[in-house]
Amino acid sequence: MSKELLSVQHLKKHFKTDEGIVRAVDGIDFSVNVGETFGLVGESGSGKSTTAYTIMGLYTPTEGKITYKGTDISIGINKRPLPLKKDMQMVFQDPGSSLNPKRSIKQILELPLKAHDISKEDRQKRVIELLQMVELPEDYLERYPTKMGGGEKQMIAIARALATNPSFIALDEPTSALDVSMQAKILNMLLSFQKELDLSYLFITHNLSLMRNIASRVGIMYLGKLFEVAPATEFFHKPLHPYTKMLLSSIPVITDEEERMKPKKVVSRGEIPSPVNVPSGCYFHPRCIDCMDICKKEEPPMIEVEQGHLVKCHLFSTS
Amino acid sequence: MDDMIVDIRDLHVNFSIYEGVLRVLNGVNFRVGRGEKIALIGEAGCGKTTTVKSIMRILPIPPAEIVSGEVFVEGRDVLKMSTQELQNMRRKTVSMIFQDPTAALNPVFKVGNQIGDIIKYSQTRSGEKIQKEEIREKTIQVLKEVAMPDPERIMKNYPIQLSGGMRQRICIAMALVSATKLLIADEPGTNLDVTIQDQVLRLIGGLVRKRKTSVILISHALGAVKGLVDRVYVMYAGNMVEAAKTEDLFSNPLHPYTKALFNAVPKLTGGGIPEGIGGRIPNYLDPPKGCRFHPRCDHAMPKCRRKAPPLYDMGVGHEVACYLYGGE
Repeated sequence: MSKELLSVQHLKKHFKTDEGIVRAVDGIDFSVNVGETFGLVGESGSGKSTTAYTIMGLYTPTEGKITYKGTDISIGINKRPLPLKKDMQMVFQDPGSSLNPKRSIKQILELPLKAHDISKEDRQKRVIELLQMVELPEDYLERYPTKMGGGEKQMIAIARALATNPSFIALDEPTSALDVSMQAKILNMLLSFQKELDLSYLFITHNLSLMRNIASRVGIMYLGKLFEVAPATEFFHKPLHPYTKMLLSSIPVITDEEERMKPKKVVSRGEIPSPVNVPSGCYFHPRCIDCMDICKKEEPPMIEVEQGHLVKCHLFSTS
Repeated sequence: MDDMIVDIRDLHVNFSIYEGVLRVLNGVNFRVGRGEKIALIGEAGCGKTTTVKSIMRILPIPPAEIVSGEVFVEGRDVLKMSTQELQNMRRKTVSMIFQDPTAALNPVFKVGNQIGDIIKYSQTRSGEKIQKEEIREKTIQVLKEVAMPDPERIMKNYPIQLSGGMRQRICIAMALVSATKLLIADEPGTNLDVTIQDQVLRLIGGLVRKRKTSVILISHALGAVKGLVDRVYVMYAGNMVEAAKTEDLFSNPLHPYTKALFNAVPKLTGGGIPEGIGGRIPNYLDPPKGCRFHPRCDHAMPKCRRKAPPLYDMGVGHEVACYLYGGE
């Protein structure tokens, strides 16, 4: 059994709005092991990004516990010690807005190094090293993000995350705004960094075909709750939760082999409800094809069906 | 000729910007038959949207400039139409759904009124006056057609009160409200979740089948087009590089670019992250001579650098622009 790096226990993050309390993350448990990629999938509004932001400390958790390397870090970013911040980094979805357009690439890459008190000489060396790591030429140092393509910008964002030698990186849909060819390039880069530097990733995406190829374990989120957690291979060959099946059957695929893998007769219907006004019982019951009476009243518990394969559904709890 | 709803011949479009002239469309040939469903695929920036915008003639001129070529819609050259004729064409023949439904809808008007305006506009110009009641009924009817729950309540909502999938369905309703003969959908599901994208594409598929409308679907989600269209055009850097029936293209892609594009998609069956295509889409200020794909192509030959290959017909309507399949 590999070592646990990060563990999240009963994490909740609620937001107060005029219309009521938004339960963006509502009691989730999972862990990320050293050197693995944990994938978080779900439709928009399911709370994937909020989870990542809370782990990174950008939000303070409403309830629950986040443990990182054995210490409790369920506090906001301003209360976290500097060495911890150095060890956990994040790459955002849109590099256009996560890179400052008024700073040169050199300034962007230097900033995290400055924040962690690294000498000027070492900074110079490190910045050039980082550019080489993401395979960009050295003359990019004096360029500005606005003059670069989306893929190159995202590479700079990754280089910035790597600057302080972290052991954990949260990747929030790092390639969803990019073309397939650029996506493949960036993912290959991320995978080789993971091997070389023994990194652990929390990878957020709504692209399931991509998840199949990058994650070691996958968690499905819906309205702030985890519905199914399983090792990637099992997840795709033996999906259990009706929501997982619906997601899988919606994926557009190219080859006939892939077509055969998709669950049959599960047609996507309905939309994710507002997190302010959630359905009773199991949150998914209004869209579920296997909905039973009990689903409308009671929330199903999370059950371990097989070693490491957890599912939150009455279909498996009653039998 | 008569059975073609759109026929683009050797279209060249340039964009003039501060740094120089971007030679974007480089001799595009493109045909859509009546009732035929077509997909246009390719990387971002390859000229898909420019091509369809030239059909609607909504390219911003300047900076765009149509250098040469002809664009026929139902046998008439769009580039030579008067304003009046253009408006008639947009009203009756061709409709378009844009990528971002949020930007396509006016945020300060209720969606019911926005749909109603289109009904009113397309009716009054054809001579008949239309009553308010009738507009209302038609709006409700078209909202029902796009599977909108509770149309009477939705009509009174502003776009911001609706979800992304619902906004896109409003846009589809607006495009289909006048009996169009051609629907152009520019990445209709790209900004939406997979489940909603699936719903939107199935909705479009169902509606056009019922009405026998022709479709041009632009997408870079390759799998999404597979179940919906009859024929696929693959575009690269302002050229059509391959055109074939959907099954032919997916089972037997010929052009090195098409193959690379298919290989770059991560597969649900596993097998790791694919290699991707080396290099990037060329700079349109100074595009490569000859075949525009040659700097990224594994099979590039000396003649690829000199002259762009013509389209070779490989039988059963499978065309490919590559010297690997023809020429001496």
